[in-house]
Amino acid sequence: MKKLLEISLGVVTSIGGFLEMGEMSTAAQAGAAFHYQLLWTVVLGTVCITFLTEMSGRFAAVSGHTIVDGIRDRFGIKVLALPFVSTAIVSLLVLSAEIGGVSVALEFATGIGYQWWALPVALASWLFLWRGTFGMLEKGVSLFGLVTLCFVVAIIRLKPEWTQVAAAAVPSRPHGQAATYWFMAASILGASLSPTLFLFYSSGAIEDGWDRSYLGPNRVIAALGMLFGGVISAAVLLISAHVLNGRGILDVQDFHQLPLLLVDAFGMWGFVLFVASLGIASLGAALEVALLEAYLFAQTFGWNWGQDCPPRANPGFSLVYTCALFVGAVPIAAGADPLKLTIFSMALTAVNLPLMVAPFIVLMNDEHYMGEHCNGPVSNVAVIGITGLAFLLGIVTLPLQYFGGT
Amino acid sequence: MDLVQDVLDKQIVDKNGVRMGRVDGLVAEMREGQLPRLVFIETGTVVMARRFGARAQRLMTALLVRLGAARKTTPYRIAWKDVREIGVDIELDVDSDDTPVHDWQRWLRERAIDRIPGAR
Amino acid sequence: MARCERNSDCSTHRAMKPTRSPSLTAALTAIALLCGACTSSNDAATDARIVLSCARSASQWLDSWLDGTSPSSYARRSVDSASEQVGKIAGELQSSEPVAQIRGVQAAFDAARTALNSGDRARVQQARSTLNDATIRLDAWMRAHPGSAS
Repeated sequence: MKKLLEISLGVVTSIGGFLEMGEMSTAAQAGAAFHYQLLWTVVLGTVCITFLTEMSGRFAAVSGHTIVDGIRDRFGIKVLALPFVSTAIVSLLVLSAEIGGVSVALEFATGIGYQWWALPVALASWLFLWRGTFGMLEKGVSLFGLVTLCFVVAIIRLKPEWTQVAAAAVPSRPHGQAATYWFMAASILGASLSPTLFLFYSSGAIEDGWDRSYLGPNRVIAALGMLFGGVISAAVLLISAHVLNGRGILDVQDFHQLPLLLVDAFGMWGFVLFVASLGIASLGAALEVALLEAYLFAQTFGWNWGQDCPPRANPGFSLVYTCALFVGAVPIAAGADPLKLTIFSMALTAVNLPLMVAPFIVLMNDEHYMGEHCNGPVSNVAVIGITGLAFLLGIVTLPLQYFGGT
Repeated sequence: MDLVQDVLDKQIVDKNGVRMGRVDGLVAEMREGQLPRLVFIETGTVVMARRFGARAQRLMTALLVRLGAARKTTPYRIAWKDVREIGVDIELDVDSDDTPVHDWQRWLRERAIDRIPGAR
Repeated sequence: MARCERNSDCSTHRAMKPTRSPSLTAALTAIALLCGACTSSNDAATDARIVLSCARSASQWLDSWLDGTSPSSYARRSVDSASEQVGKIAGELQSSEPVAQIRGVQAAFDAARTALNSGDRARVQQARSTLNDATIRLDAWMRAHPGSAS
């Protein structure tokens, strides 16, 4: 009975915590530029993150290690060094993007420019982490994040051609603007496969004291949580296709265009729902990424860590998330465009993926850590294939997008 | 026991379950005609840097001296006899408060963390 | 006491690193060049498309201002922001591009901003229809010049 409650809570918090600034921005851009066509990237990304999350929980429950802990344990510091540095940097950019997301939502709500909100948002996030416990964060913010289900309601109200939607779930080649198409594919995959999600999940499993009895619940939470979350992401893309592409708005270059997504379906409430969704979802993500940075440092160097402990118990851990939040706020406070920063950080995430996923896959197939719970061929093929694709797309299109001409 | 696989880079945990660093290095005694005998496990920033080469070690030492943390340049050694158990982590018979590994964190706590309200 | 240097790259521990073989680099370069060749849009079409997207978004904002479905500060800031982007593009136009049409959109934006700042419904409605006309003209240019991105 208790397990059932935990499963329900796990699923609900996963759904509520799925969408954030990255998913919203990349899906909105893709829907505007290519109508339904890029839906398959959302599908692939969701499938892959489902596998990665399940593996992450299974690894923690069976081996007693978090992923970063396990990588250092198995491969040593010399191998962990590069993924550690690159993930720390990329995650900092993602943190900036999420702080940007909350700041933009606050600008919409109040009319005060997003730059002014960056430091207050960092401060508020810091207060959450300083005074809160892991349980409170995980459940609280993510429960409020369920407001993002409004996107699913919106797309149902817009009555799309579901057969066309289904057709778009299969990969297809673009009819024009190939470089942009593949770049957007990379950024959507990066947004779905953010290492913050699966690295964070394993730390969470250890914080919650998961053991082998949690293998079943883990599978349910990963599957239902990620799949429903993916549906929300898909809804954003489909809505954008209708509301933006359908009106001939093919470029989303300005974050001010985003609230338009919900005004059609909900009128006045659309604006409110959008602002609430963006703000809450990005806040949850910002808290997670800041914590992830702390976990990353603490687990690489062997410091004591734990969200449930008071800050003075683990000064190093607390110092990292504090610095991460305030450094992360700087680009937004300095006036960097939140939308452009988000898209860039998502594409970078795609490129960074193999550095963490490759050692992780090796661990998942190592009997010494996993016992009889090693990966089956399906998990291996799915994860290697999709992250390989994300990396390839990212490494090719990112330079073209930013340094080449289109 | 495979020292590299089972000891090196493992998490060290004190007798109360508090994490206190990772095994960054090993100190063994070479013996004639026998396998080397493990005497100490080492933990410390400089030891970790040494894994990347002598130049990295020199750079890290210089950096720590520059930051006024010259004490941290000497690695902390744990005698093999103080290791109680090797499982998921390496469990020791010592209390981390009796060791210098958390000195920098204690410094941080006194100078910064305790000055911020709500740290308890 | 003799110190045994432990090299964690020992044979018991072959770690997986991303491969850096020369053949992979060559393959990636080839793909990059191929993708570069695939790029079909040119600057004029991209500019026109972006300006059109800005103009149509602005119509949405003006509509939402008029029927009260969003706060007026949001509509104003959005139109300002899009207007800046159009201004940037208008300032760097080349002769092969639809200069007149884009300038027309820019003028319509100026009218919209003034109207929103004044808060006068009639002026906003007028600006809305001016913007509509400018949008139609730019759209017509784009249809007459295919080879532009759809």
